[in-house]
Amino acid sequence: MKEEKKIDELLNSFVDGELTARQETEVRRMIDNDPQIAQQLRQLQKCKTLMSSLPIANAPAQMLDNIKASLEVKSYRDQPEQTSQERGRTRISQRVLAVAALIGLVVVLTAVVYTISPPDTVPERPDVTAYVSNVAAVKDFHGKLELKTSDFIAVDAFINRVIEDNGLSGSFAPVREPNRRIYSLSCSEKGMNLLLADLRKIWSKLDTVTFFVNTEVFGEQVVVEAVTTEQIAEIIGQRDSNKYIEVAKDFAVLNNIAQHLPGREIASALEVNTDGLIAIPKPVLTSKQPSVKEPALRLDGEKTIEITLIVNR
Amino acid sequence: MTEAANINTRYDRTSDRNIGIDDTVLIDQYRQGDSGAMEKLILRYQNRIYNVILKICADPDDAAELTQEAFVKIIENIHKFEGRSRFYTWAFRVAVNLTLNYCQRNAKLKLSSLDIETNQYSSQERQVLKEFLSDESSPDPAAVAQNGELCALAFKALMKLDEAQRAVVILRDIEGMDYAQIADVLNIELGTVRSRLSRARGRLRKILEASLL
Repeated sequence: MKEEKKIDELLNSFVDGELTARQETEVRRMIDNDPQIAQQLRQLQKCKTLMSSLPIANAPAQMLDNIKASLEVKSYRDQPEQTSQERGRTRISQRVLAVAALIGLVVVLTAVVYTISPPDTVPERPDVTAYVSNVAAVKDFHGKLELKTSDFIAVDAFINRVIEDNGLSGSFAPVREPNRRIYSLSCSEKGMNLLLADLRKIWSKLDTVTFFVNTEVFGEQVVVEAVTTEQIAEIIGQRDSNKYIEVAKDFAVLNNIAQHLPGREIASALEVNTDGLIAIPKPVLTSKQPSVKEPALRLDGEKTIEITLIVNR
Repeated sequence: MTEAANINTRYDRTSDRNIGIDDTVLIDQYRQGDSGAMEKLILRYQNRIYNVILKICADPDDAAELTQEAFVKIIENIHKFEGRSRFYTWAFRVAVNLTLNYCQRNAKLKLSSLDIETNQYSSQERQVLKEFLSDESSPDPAAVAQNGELCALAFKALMKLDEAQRAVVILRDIEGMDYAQIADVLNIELGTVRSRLSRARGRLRKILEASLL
């Protein structure tokens, strides 16, 4: 029985051309010597011929269209789930962008409105006694400007020269370290604006620029990353430390948003292109001059701008 | 001309105007977003796949639906095709497995009607078959194909095999696949192909001989 099965398989493989040359020779020998096996082989070949002669049926003519239609229906069915997920993601991104844009807009408007047109009324009258005791500290500006550049020698040489040109070298002698220069500057607002106008020329050579507002007098310190010379001028142009902080905070938020936006449109939009030189925008007061004059502003003495300028390699 | 090539020429390939383009090239084009490449693959294989499915399930409407479903499955899973086997065998694996599963699910329904139909042989059919089997000369496939009565008998005999045996005979004798390809399509061992085919043909012979009685 087992032998019969083996012969059957050999004959089938012979008919199908699936034997090795040695096996084929063996089968031929069997056929030649055994008429029953030869007969079996003939029947097998007929059976195979019969099957392979069965007519070929071609697919219905509309098969391709039906397949395409099926795929369309399937994708249509699957779509709502995918779309709702995608829509969800899109909505989240749109909301994030909308919130970011709104914050940016509010910050810009707040900065502009508070700078140009302060509110007509002061919500709460400050405690005059406490206020007067802080007058000197409130009026002066204290800050730190930290620059980092890969072009350290050229930038430092330029800063050194413009400090001298603007008559600010008398403040304090710079601290010289191998990869660092520290300039302690004390000057008027006008003097600082002139210096900033000069510094603007090398702003593009700086890798990072960070402005620290109120570094000495008050506990609260605001850090403005990627600050521009115009922003510095605007901050130090404010009336008092509250305003320094307020405007600095606005710029900090604004610059932070701008850094995360493609193209940094907001930051560049705030950059005033004056073809290079000395055009630091000064706050322009409109007819909405503060109706309530605060004690600090009534003092005649010019405020002092104290900035520690640090240049790092 | 090889057996496979000979079988190839029997199919209507007038719709395949891209005979020279390799399957893998068309698959790459489709993956890169060219939906026309998949249409070319469908046109290339729709007749062969339909024919095999029809021979297994024996119902033209079912065969059309199963072919359609098989192609949808092939397209949906094309990203899983790694190119370890030929696209041709991979596509047939999808189609044949789908059909065999369908046949198993509908076995009870089909059997009753099929038994009645396949047991009915006319006297003329019996005579034609007797002449064919008793002829000592080698059979001429072209002449057999022309003989409608003989083909009808052969088809009825084929339908009497169980689906697993039927599939292996169809893939070998109608589709012209070699044993390795059949093993790949049916996901079975080469030895299983050998033994299953041997048993299937043995049974076919008995069915045909029994029809002469």
